[in-house]
Amino acid sequence: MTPEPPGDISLDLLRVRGLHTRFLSDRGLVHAVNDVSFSVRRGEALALVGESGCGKTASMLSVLRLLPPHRTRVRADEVSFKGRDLLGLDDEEMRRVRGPEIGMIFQDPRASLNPVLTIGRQLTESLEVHLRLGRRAARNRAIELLESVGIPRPASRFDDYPHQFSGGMCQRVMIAIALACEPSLLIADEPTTALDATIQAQILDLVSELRATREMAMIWITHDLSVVANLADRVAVMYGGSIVETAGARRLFDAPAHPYTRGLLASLPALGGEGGGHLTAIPGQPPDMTRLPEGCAFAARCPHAFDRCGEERPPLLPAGKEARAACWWDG
Amino acid sequence: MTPLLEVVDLKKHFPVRRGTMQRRTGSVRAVDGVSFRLNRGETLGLVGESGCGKTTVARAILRLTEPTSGRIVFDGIDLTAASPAELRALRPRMQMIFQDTHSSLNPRLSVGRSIAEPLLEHMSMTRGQRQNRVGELMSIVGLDPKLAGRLPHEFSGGQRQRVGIARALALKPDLIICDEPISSLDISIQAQIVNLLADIQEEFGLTYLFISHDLRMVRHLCDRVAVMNEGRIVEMAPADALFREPGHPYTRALLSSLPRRPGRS
Repeated sequence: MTPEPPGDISLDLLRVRGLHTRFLSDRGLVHAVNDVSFSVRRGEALALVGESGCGKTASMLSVLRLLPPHRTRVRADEVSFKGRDLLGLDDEEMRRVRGPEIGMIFQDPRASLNPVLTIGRQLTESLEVHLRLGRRAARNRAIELLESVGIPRPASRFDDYPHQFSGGMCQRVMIAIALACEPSLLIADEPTTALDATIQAQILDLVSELRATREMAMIWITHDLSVVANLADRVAVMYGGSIVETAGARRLFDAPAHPYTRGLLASLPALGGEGGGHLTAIPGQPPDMTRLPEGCAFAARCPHAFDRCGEERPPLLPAGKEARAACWWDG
Repeated sequence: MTPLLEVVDLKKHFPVRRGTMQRRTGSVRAVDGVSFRLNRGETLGLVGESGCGKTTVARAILRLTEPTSGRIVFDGIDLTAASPAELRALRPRMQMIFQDTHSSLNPRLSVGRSIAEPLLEHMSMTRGQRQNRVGELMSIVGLDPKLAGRLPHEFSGGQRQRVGIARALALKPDLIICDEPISSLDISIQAQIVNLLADIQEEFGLTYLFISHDLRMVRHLCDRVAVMNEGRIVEMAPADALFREPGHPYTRALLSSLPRRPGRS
């Protein structure tokens, strides 16, 4: 495959340019997202990686317009989905985008499912509303969906309530709901973090399979680098509210460019080898998002930082083939 | 050499009650005949998925829950038969490090006071001696003793876990049970805390029971690993052997579910 020339944006499904998000907390103004730009093409899987509070969830919620408006300020040069400006839509139009066009899965399935509605009803509701299916057709389709996400005997579980399902089963139901309207983009926020390892592996297999059969694009938010390696075409690493590195998944793991990405990969213990000894830890701690430094947010922890890093925030600069890193250090 | 800790056929069954009369209709066998030995200076990993009984084992060892049957022998003394006075004398020698530093530290007490609490409870010290010891403990875990007057919410998750570790070290224990000590920490902080646990183990000759679902960290930190499933230990082996050649089908399933790791292998 030849890389698209940089000017060709016709394949972009979602494009975000210059996104800034601020919200008011008890501790002051949180600079949650700072000048974030990215795009996702049809069928592409982008992983958004970073630790808690780095802005990865906040950027997705900003794009989906799911942050409480009275204490949030979202500003962007562009947020477009299939060429439509999402920030210009009214609330009703936006509701028709979320769900049918952009599916969402969140970390805690029990908090996202309605406890007083049956599993079946929660699925058929969106099928009836968004795909305008009749009652019987919606029921049949819902049972098919439950089967496709690996719920055993779906017809007999159709009238069960969420509390009758285990955590892993609830997450599968959430995936079924997200996929019900066959969205062209799925946004998944740490969907497997709360699940046990064996269930997590099943869900990852399932999502990969669905992506292959439906050509669905995906943004997968996670702090777990090992999940990313198997799932994503491209990775964007976030730190301190900004994307600090973006590259193809293989390239990122084989030759990370940003000192933060390097530090994270180096700090993971190896499965083979002897065990024991010291891990190569990143010193210090993540920045306070209410008091971000003027320069690079990682400078205080960075082994390569020099004067300029403390004074001027680096933009994303080319770092090899189809990769960019926000770093002044050129070692 | 006698082991520091020996657990023999430990069982903990919780009653299941149903109906308006709350009659006992059965029981959940949370721990169903667990036995292992833990030698001095050793780290034993206890792994398994949520609900497999690993935390119940830890709570039974610390006598936070009463076992249904079985024996727990600590340094030659049977805890299940010990008197309250004997238990109280042994208490300082067994400590725990918790997963959730939000709920394990009192939010209204300064971190210095939290670290001093076990000293107040178990040691007769002057105020000055206690302050010195708190400062010393904070230095050991990499915290500036000048921060002793701060409240937990002024600290990051990694710093709070350091406070939890200082508190666990206060009474110079022999055994520390680490219950998912890094799983709620930021990824860039986890390696710092794992290194700290390794350092203090070497310095103070500590014995660890390390409960975790993070198989990479278990591989890194543990000498031996016990795999639990449905209340039983299904496999126990030296860490390198277990990861190289898992014997039990459940262990194989657990290991094969590990996503391939990026970078080094």
